[in-house]
Amino acid sequence: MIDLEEYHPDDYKLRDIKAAKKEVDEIVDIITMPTEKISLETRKEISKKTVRNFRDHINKGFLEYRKSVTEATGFAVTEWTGKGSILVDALDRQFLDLLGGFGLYSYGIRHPKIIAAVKSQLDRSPQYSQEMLDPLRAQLAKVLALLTPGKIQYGFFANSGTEAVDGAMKLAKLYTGKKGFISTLKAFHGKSLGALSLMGKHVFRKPLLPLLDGIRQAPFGDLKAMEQELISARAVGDDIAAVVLEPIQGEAGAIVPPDDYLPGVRELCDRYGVLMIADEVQTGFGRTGELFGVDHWNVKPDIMCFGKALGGGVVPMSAFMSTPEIWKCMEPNPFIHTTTTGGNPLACASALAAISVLLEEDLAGQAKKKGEYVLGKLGELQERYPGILANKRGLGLLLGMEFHTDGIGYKVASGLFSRGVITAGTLTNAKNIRFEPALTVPWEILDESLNRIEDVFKSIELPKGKPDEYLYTGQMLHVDLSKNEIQSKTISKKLREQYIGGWGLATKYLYDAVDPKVDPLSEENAVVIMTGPVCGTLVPTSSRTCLVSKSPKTNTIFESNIGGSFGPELKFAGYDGIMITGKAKNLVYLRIENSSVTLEDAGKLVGKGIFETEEWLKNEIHAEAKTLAIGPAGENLIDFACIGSESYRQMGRGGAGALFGSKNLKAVVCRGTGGVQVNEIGSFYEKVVEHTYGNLLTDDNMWAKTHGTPLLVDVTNEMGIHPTKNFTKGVSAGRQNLNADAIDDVKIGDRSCASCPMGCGKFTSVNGTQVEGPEYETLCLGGSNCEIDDLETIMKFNRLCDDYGLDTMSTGNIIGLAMDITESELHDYGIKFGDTKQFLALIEEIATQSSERGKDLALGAQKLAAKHNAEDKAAHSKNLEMPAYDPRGNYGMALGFATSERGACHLRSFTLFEEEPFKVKEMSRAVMDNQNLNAVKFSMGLCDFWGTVDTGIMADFLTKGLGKTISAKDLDKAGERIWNLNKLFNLKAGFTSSDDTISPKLLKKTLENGPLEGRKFDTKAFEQMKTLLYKLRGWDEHGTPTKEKLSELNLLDA
Amino acid sequence: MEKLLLAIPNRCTGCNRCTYACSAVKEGMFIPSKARIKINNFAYEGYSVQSVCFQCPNADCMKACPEDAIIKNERGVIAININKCTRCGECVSACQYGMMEQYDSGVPYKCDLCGGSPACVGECNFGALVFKEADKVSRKLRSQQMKQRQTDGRPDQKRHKLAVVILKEAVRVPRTANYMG
Repeated sequence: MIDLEEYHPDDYKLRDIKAAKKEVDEIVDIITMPTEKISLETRKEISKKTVRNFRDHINKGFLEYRKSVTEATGFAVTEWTGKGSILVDALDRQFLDLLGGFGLYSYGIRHPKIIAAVKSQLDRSPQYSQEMLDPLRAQLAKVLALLTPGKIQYGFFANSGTEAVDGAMKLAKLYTGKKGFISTLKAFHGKSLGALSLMGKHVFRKPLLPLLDGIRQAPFGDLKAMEQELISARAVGDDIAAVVLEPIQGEAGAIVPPDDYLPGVRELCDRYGVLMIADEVQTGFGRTGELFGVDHWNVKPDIMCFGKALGGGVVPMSAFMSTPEIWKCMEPNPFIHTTTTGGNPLACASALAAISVLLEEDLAGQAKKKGEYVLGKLGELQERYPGILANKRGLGLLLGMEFHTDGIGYKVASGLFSRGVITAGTLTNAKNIRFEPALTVPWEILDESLNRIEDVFKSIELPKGKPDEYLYTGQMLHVDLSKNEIQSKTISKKLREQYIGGWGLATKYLYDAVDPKVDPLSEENAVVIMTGPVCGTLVPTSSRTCLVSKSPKTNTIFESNIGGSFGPELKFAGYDGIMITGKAKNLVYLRIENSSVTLEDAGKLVGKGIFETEEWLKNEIHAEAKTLAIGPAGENLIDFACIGSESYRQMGRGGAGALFGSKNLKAVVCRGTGGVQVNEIGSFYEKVVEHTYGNLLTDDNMWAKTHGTPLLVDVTNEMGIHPTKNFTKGVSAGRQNLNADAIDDVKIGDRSCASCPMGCGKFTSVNGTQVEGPEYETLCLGGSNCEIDDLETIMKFNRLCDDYGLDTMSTGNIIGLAMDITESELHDYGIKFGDTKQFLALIEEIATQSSERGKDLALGAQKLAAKHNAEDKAAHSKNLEMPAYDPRGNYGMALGFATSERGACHLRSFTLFEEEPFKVKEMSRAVMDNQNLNAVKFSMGLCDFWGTVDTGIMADFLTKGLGKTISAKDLDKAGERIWNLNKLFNLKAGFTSSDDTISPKLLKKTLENGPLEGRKFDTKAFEQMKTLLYKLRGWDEHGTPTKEKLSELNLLDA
Repeated sequence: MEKLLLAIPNRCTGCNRCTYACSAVKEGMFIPSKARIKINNFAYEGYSVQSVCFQCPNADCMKACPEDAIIKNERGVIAININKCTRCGECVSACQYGMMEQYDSGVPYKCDLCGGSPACVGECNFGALVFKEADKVSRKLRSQQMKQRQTDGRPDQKRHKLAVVILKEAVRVPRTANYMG
């Protein structure tokens, strides 16, 4: 352990000249002492002292980031000596050098020929007089002129690479008289203020803004983008002096551009009259397998910058050079750019000897051969360790290894360090690690290093997953309740491509397994639960999990989805979905703990509410287990029973709860500790950040975070479509008690589904009644629709429905109808509008069937109305009770309800905010687009409240996650395919176009108040819209998809 | 200056993004069970409690390590030197907050504050995780949370028990516009 806080009596206090003399004498003595005479004790002292000196006089920060400290045991690894490709620290510990001082040590450490030249020059003259002409500098310029491509002939010498870049920028400005530069994204040209302006990374640049004016960065390797920058610069009057680039980006991770890039940039520079500056500081002098980086493409830049290896790894040295034509601008006043120490005799001697070595030993050729060899070996490693090494790249011996994350990269870097291999890679920047040894590196050392790299890879512990499964787990659990059989089967990749996941895949599984004419509550029906491909990742709002089956409510195929964390938990357990068939003999629950999946007796849970059921299962399995459970309503097969999860979340619509009940399945409980893999986590993560901040967390969607769905109470009231008093009115009198402000007043916290940064769930508390919600639909259908405007009552209603397992929407709608029937004296259900006591009492009666009226209401709106000849009072479509948007005020909503696969559902097409709510053409088109988009969205498992998401964004996630290109068009097509397959199911189930409608009440009666009061529903327009929608979809007039359409969608065999 | 990772349960919405991000950075995949931060969810009560490593001033894991493989570094992070670790698991039993865990191989892992830029904090959109200078207020919050300890059980059991205490003690009131948790 290295003690960073170690105190020493000689530590710096304040100014002390005597102490300074003592310190300096000590170290000079050591410097001048023959190395072998310096004792180990002394060197240990030096190591410790160096840590203290770094702490007190250099920068404490380095101590936290450098592996030499963080990964060392006992003593920090302290520079001492080295030779060739071996570094030796002060304690005689040897390291193989793969870092090569970031390209400084191209000739190896202390190349004898260079050292000899510098020593001789040192004995003759180490510096210049600043007046006499210096022979070495001039000779070096001549040699370089002979080495460099094109007409490069004149040079200026400095000490560091960044000075060379600054100088080159000055030269370009002087020559062209223009101020601007274009560099590239992720570029690194140095950290002095001029060169820093060109930097392509915000970390180093942003804290120092403003920098030079008129600088632009184009993506590296993208010619079109470069031209676009030139065009825009010209258009806005930012005159560009030069384009500056590294022929191969070094710091960015040895990025080699496409072959047409550099020649293309050269051509662009000529065409737009700007200079081309090649920053060869890292790529020059053989590093990349040619003398200079530009030589790979035979490009002749106007200005070149050199550094690092130029000084032979012995004396610092840099230069920028250019053509006679350009250099002329410095002739009138040669003093416009000078330096005292740049190009001093020691540096020139070093550089000249180095160039001689470069040519004598054919270092460029060596780099080429060795680079190809190493790249091949890294390729093999990548194949063997795909979870660790994401990529390898580079040219010559400027190579880069890319790891999946900084975390893995750092594990590699620190593992190598402890095995005596020096590479770059710090705690915070280890995703890309450069492999940049001396060009003279012996083959044995290369092999040994590669062995040690593999050794490190072997030692790195990665969570286990199937190596080639990305995003998907690829597994579907098949649970046959009749036979008590459970199997996990692979989901074919073809199906995944065609149906994405979630709603789509579940539809396909159901379609293939169930006869559309089957009785939904019979043993022959199946229930498919399915997550989306991005579920369990950081893709925001991605946790929605779908259930698809034949609905007992509507007799159609239907999809119902739920948020919360069940979906991710299922993925972490190793399954994308569950297919449930048959019927258990007794009430059971399905228990999933990773690979252990069993059916357990649920005798103890008979008749229990969802809250208690979930609590019991959590105690039984794990505090973080997630469940899907039904309450008494589901057990009693009420066809608007829901499945609940995490107390307040439901698969609400269509009777999912009754399906579980019909199969004697009380619950599915899941605990998973595995993970979801993606092809390339870094770029996937980048996409997540890009779309989360660029698209999701923007003004259009922020209502969900700030107010949640209660915001709609005021919105729909303003529009006059807020269902009130059993859909007789469109504006509610008591809205101020139930709107977003009212909810906000009693909110005690926000709640999110897994992965959602918006948190639309508002957790409320009134007089001890607590609930997550109520959501808009509950506030309206259980509120104004029953003429109830007391928030506490609605919260109680919400909780009771959640616990007994009833859909609040259908329940509110049906109770409103019962109130209407009672007040119209068609039948006395003992409940009138606004009767809070009876309102709350009814929920248990419905769910448990404990009273006659409870049994009646459990029939649902359509049948209840029929029973009393009150068909003109029921608001529904295909028997599914109408949600809280009166379709009489928005024909798009009406068409959406009528043509959804599951009856009156607002989640298929939400045209509420379209500008022309009564326009036939616009609305038909909007409905179709919405339906197709939502088919994709719910197949991806994303939330409806990501209102601005499009198939382009979704395709991005899949492309990065799977590592293969998925286009927006592919997804558009899949959406249409999914919608059509649902339609085919319903046609086979016996539904016709005449079923694609809304109930008579809504078609014939007018609203009694608000802006739409007395407005007649235009049934003719509605029929036109329907016909147009069919036509747009490529269906015939009966709503049957044509052969051509089915063939286009690869659905012919369906 | 030393910075502390602070959790404010009253603001946590249970989105679990922190655990996804943490595991992505540390494990290269989305695997919250291996995250170095954990969320204890109480859906029924509408509450979630974060479990974070406090980087204890006088860490039990460090004291328990028979090999001196656990150190407190300059940044105040309690760090494991894997090369010295013998996988004995003493540190896991010693941590009274359940924040030291082991891979199947026995190698322990814990929060290292991502070298000074915690990924979890970056993903928290609700201000429920903050990374700030160790001042009076933050030290006080940390020491309050550190008071509860659990010595028995697996790490996940310890975390759950501690979270239950925080849930019970949480003061939650209807919020006004200016309510700050």
